[in-house]
Amino acid sequence: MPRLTERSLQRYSRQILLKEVGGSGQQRLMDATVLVVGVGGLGSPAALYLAASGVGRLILADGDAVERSNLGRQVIHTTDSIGQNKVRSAARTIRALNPEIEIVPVERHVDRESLPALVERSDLVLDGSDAFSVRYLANAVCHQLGRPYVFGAVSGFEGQVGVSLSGVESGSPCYRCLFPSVPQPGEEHPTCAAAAVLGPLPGVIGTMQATEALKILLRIGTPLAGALMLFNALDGITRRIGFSADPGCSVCGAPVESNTPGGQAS
Amino acid sequence: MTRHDDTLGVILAGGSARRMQHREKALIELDGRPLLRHVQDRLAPQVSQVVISANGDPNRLAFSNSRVIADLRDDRPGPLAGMEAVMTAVDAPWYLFVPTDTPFLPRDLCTTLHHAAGDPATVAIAASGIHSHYAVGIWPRSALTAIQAALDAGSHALRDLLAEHPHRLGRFAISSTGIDPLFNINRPADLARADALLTPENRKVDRPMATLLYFAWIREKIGTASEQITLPDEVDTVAALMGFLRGRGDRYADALKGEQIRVAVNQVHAQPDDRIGNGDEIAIFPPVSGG
Ligand SMILES: [Zn+2]
Repeated sequence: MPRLTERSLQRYSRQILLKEVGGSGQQRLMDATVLVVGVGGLGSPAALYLAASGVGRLILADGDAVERSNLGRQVIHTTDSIGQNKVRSAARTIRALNPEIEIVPVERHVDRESLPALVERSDLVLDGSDAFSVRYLANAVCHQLGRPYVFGAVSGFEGQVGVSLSGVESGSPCYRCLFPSVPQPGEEHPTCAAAAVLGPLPGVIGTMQATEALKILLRIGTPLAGALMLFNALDGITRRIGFSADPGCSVCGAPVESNTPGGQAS
Repeated sequence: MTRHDDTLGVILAGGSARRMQHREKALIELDGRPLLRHVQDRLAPQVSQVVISANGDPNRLAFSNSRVIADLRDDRPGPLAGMEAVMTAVDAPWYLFVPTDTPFLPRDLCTTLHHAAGDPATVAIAASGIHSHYAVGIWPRSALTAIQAALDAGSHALRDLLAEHPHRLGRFAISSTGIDPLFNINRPADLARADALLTPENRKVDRPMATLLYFAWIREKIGTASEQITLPDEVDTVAALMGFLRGRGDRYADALKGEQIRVAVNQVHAQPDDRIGNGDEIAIFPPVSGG
């Protein structure tokens, strides 16, 4: 395991000054592995901040290539990485930001076959995907393998963020306890493309996801477990909605045999 | 009581009461509730949405759950600057302006003033007895130019602008119980009188309202982020509320269909048969998936 050098002490000094973090907390982050699913609008700021904060190993998974229309919000990618795989582009930016951490590139979308092995290698999963199918899949796999799951989503001027610890703490709810019915394609945003979004919105939500991830890895504060943070940027309204475990939940409810919900990664 | 979807309700909450130790009028309590709340309860059912015109720290008015809009110019205090700021910030065909010190506003205020205005370009001001109440009136969007011109010319009095601007009067009768519906509170004696005028029946009518918050595409379809309504007695569960809201019009019916919609009562996820009532804050939100 890497030890804190003089240089890394300087790099993380403002964070180490926090009594909740300190040298031992920073060491804990350096020893941690986080899987970031999707390096798009949410994954970009989340991966940047996890890297800058000194999370020792980041597994980045995304099969998409950088497009010009991504650059208005996916701040980890640059104009000269258009056409390149997003993970490769992100790894380059992260290495420039913090060469002290390790990047494990997975240059394809996660699916039912590949996700469990990636989750197994991680201490925590941060979901920056943009599809319900991935969200429900990642929630289920994290529950089964006992990993904290940090989810986030944006649309238009609004965002949602929360944490599922159902696989870690018994009685703690999962994403599906709150949203049991998987929205069908087209049912999500009935008017226009769900793709319409104000540039900084994924930055706000992705950064909150990174914050939740660090809190959980450091075992400090109160994670947004069993809570959904709603953020309406247009009207400046924020609410923290509490929810509890659903005994009938198809993921974390009464024990059942194999129960991975279907779905293709986008 | 008719809701006018084309009219934005605006509470001009700028003033303090000189004769009441300069206390901020919006926050002075009557029957245990701030005056702003009394005015809001009267206004909300009549208009599309209520916003508040006020300067300074908006957090002191956060209890209202309404948007607070500050003046654009700090050198011209008074209602005109507040009216300009609201009309600039929110686009609506009509604006119903009321002050924050009139707790007995008529429940047909908006309808009567629209009738008085008669056409889409005329201002209508409320009148009762022998008094015109310049701060209570409906203004079409087209009047913004005249308001800006008056402010640019250094004027900040409504009375001066209305002396030149064509307008009509909407008349309101003094009630049989002696309440002037446009009665406003300026000194301690007015407050005591208002308290005496609050009949048991009045107090019951002015019971707290439920606050509804809409998120994501539900907000977009309904057209507002929050509103306050008085729930009928029979609307006492989450399921009944959803049925009640869907019955309020096509926008609601369209926004609130689909089984993935969630409801939280006082920030806790609620089930269809959970109890709700006036005074509760009810948030309605869908899952979103964009990344
Ligand atoms: Zn569950």
